[in-house]
Amino acid sequence: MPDQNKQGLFSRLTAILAYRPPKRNTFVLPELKDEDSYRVTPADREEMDYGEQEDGRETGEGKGKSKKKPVRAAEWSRVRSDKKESGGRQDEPAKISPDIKVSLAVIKREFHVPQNIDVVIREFKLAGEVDACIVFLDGMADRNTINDFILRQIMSPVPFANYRGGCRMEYIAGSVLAVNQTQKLDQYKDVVLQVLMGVTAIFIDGCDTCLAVETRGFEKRSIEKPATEAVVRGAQEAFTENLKTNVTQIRRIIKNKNLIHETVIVGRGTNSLISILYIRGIANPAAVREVKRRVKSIETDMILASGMLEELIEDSPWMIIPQVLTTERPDRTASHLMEGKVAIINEGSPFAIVVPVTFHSLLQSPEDYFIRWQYGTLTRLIRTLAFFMALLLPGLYIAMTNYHQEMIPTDLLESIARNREVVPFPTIVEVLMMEISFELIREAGIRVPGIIGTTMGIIGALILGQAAVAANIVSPILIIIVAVTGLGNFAIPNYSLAYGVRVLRFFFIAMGGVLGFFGISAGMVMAAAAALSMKSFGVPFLSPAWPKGTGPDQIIRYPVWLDEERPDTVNPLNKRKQAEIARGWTRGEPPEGKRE
Amino acid sequence: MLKEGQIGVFEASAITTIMIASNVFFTSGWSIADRLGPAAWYGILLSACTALGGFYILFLLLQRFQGQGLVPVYEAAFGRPAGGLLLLLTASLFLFNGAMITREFVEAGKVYFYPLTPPSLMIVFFLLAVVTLLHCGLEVIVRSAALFAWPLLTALLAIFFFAGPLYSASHLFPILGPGPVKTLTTGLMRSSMFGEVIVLAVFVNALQGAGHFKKAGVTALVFSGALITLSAIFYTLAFPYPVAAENTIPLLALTRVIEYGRFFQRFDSIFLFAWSIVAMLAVAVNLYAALSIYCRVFRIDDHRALLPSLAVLVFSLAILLPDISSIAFIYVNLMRQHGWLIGFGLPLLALLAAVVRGKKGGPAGA
Repeated sequence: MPDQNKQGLFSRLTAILAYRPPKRNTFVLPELKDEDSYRVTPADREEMDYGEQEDGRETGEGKGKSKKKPVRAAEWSRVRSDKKESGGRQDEPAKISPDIKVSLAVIKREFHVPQNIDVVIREFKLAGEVDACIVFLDGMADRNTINDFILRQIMSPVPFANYRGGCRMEYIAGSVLAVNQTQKLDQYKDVVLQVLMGVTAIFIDGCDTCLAVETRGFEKRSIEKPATEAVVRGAQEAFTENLKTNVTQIRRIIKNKNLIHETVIVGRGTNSLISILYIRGIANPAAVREVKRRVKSIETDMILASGMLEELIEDSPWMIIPQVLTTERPDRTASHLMEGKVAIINEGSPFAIVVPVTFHSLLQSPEDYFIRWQYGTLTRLIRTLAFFMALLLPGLYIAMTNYHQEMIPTDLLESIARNREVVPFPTIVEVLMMEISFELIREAGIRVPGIIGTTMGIIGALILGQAAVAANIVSPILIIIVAVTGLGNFAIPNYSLAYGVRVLRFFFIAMGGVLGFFGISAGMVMAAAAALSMKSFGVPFLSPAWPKGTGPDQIIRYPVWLDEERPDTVNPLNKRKQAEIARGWTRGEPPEGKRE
Repeated sequence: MLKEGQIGVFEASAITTIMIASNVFFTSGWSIADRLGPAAWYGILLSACTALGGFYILFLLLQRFQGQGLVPVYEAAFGRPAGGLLLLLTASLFLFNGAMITREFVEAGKVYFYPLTPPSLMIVFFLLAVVTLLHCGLEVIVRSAALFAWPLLTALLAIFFFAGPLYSASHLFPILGPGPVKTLTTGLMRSSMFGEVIVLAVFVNALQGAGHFKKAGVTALVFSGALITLSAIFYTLAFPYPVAAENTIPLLALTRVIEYGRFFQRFDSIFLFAWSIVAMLAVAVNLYAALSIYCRVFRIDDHRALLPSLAVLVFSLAILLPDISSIAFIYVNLMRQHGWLIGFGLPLLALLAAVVRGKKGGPAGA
C-alpha cells in the first residue's frame, strides 16, 4: 500500500506536468458532402438517418433505410402511376388509396410515426363493420369534439341504420357527423397539411377520399388591450396570435358581404397561413393581385412574424423607412380596408400589415378620428413637429454650437458656453454619448419585464442625466435636447417609422457635425431623394403631396362630414365614401311645433 | 432609350423656377444691381419679357416636331453631325452652369459660414447630394423640387417681409437708374438668366405633350421673373445704391440685417438651408440635362453609368477657378451676358433651318 501511494503521488504529479490525450472524444458536427444538394432535394434530406427508433428498433449508423410496411404489388403499381401523373415523387402516392392500409402506411411515413409522438392515429371499426381511422395532431385538435362528435357517432351502428349503400364518406358527412365544417380531400399532401393545421382526417377502407373535419382547438391568448397603439376614446381591443380571432375581429367591424378573406400558405418548413383581406368593389384589383403575387411567390422556410413578411414583400427592403403599415388594432385595419387598401395578417403575429401606404398614413393615429376634428388636426401637427424634432434636433444643436454660433441669441450663447466650459468633450462626442445612453436605457427598458422596465427607464434616464451633468461629462442643455428628441420619437405613432427615425438621427448628427447646416441640408436632400424614389405597392411613398394628387385628410384632419372621398393614391374602384351632404338632417326641417 | 418617367406641369414649373430663380441666391443679383442700380427691378422685368419671346420660338420649334425632344429636333433640323455638335454645346452649357453654381456656392459658403473648411470637402458633400438625386433620376429631381418649392418660397417671402423695417422708398430713385438705353440693353442681354427654360425642351417627352410644355414654361418664366424682380425691388428698397453695389450676395446681405430685438437677429444661418437646397437642385437639374443630352446623342441607355465620371468632371471644373472674383467675371459676366445665344439663339436657328430644309416631324421621328 505505501508503494501504491507513492506511485499514485508520482503518477498524479506526472499527470499534472505531462500531456495526456482526452479520455473521451468530443462531438464534432460533420460537414455534409454537398450541402446544397440537401437543400434543394428534400427527399435526400429525408433519407438521412436521424438515429430514431423505427418500429421499436434502432436503424443503426450510416445511411438509414426507412422501413415501409408491405403493400400489395398491384396497389403499389397503381399508386406509383397516380403519382407519376401528378408529377410528384415516385416513391410517394399522391392520390388517396381506397385501401386503408396504404393510406395508413403513407400517413405514418409522412408524419414519421411512431417517432413523432404528437400524431395520433386511431384505428377503429366504422359502425362496427368497416376498417377506418382518424388522424389528428395532439394539442392542435380539440379532444372533446373528436370524442363527442366524431368517434362516438361513427363508431356506433345506430346512425348507420338508414345507410343504403354508396359512398360511406358522403353519408357520414351528410348524416352522421354533427360538426360545422367538413371537407373531402383526395390528395395525401392536402390531408397532411390539414392535419398540421389541427383538422382531423377520417379514412375509411374502400373510399378513395378522406374527410377533413374542423376540430381546431389549440390554446390561444385572449384579446387584450393594444400595447403600442393605445387610445383614449377608441376601442380597446388588439389583435392576437390567432388568425381566426383576428379576422373575426375585423368582420365584427365590417359586416359587409364584399369583405373577402383569402389565405395563402407560406413557409416550406412552417406552413404558415397568411390571410389577405380586401373589400371587393372598393380595393383596386391590380393592388390585390399584386399582393397575392408577392405573397405566393415567397419561398422560405419560415415566417414567424409580420416583420419577416414585411421584408419579403415590400418594394425597397434596403430603405430605412418601412413601406407598409403595421397595426395591432382591428378598427384601424378595418378603416384602411374601407379606404380600398389590402390587409395581410400572418398566423402567429398580432399585427396586420396594410398596403399600399403613404408617409402621411404612417404619421396618423386612430385617435385622430375618435376626437373632434380640430383636436385631431392639432395632434397631427404636433406629431409632424415631433417627427422633425426627433430626426433633426441633435444634429441642429451640433451644427449651431460648432458652426453657427452667431444665430444663437447672445444670452443663450453665454449660458451654453458657461455650461460647456467644464465639459472636456467636443459637442459631437457629448451628443453621441447621451444618444447611445438613451438608446441603451430604452432597449433595457423593453427587455426588463413588466412595470420594472418602465420604472427602470425613467429612473435610469433621470439618474444617468443628473449624474452625467454633475460629473461634468455633458452639459445640462444637452440633457434637454436628448430628452425632447426622445419625446418626439415616442410621439411618432408608427413603431417601425419611429425606429427608422432613430437610425436616421445618427446620420443627421454626423452631417451636422461635419458641415453644420449645409451638411444637414445635404442630408435632407439625400433623404428626400430616397423617400421620393420609394413606392409602396406601386404608390409613390410621398403621395398625394408629391407627386401631386387629390385626397384630403393628410396633415389636416378633415371634419368627418367633409371627408367624402377615399384616398386617390390607392385608386379605389369606388371613390366616394359618403354622400355629398352626409348630415342629411340639415336639408330637412324639424317637425311642426318643434321649430324655434 | 433613357427612361425619364412622367412629370406634371407643377413639378416641371417648380424645377425650372428653382433653376432660374437660383440666381437671386448668388452673385447675379449683385451684378445687375451694380449695373442698373435703382432700375434693376424693371431691367429684370424686361429680361423676363424677352425670355417669354424666346420661349415662344422654342415652343414653335417643338410644335413643328410634335412629341419630340430637343435632341431629335436638332438632329432633324441641322442633320445628325451638326445637330450633335450643337447639342453637345448645349450640354456643355448645362455642365458648365452646374460646375459654376457648385463653386459659387462653395466660395460664398466659405466666405460667410465656413472660413476654415477646405472647399474640396464642401464640394464633395455637395456633389454627394447631387449625385444621389441624379442616381434617382428625373422624376425624383423634379419631385424634390416640388417638395421643397413651398418651403423655399415661404423662406424667401419671409426674408422680404422681415426686412420690412429697413425699406425706404427713396432708394428707388432716381427711377431711371443709369438711363433707359443702358437699362434696355442690359435687360435684353440679361434674358440669358431665363435661358435655362430650354431645359424643358430636353425633358419634353416626360412632360406629356407640347401643351404641358408651354404651360410649364410660361408658368416658370412668370414665377421666376416675379421672384427675381421682387428680390431686386426689396434689395433696392433696403440698401441705397452705393451700399447695394458693394454686397456680393444681395439676398444674404438682406438676411443679415434683419433684427427684431436682442433675441431675433442673424437669420442668415437659417437662410443657409434654403440656399443649399436651391443650389443642389439647380446643379442636379443642370447636370441631368447635360447627361440626358449626352446619352441621347450617343445613344446611351442608362445615365447612371456616367455618374462617377461626371462627378469627377464637375469637381475638377469647380475647383479649377482660383477665387470668387474669377467666378463672378467668367460665369456672371460671360455666361449671363451671352448665354441667351444657346438658350434662345440656337432654337431660333433650328427653326429657321427646319423651315428652309422643309423638315417636320411627328412622334415617330423625322
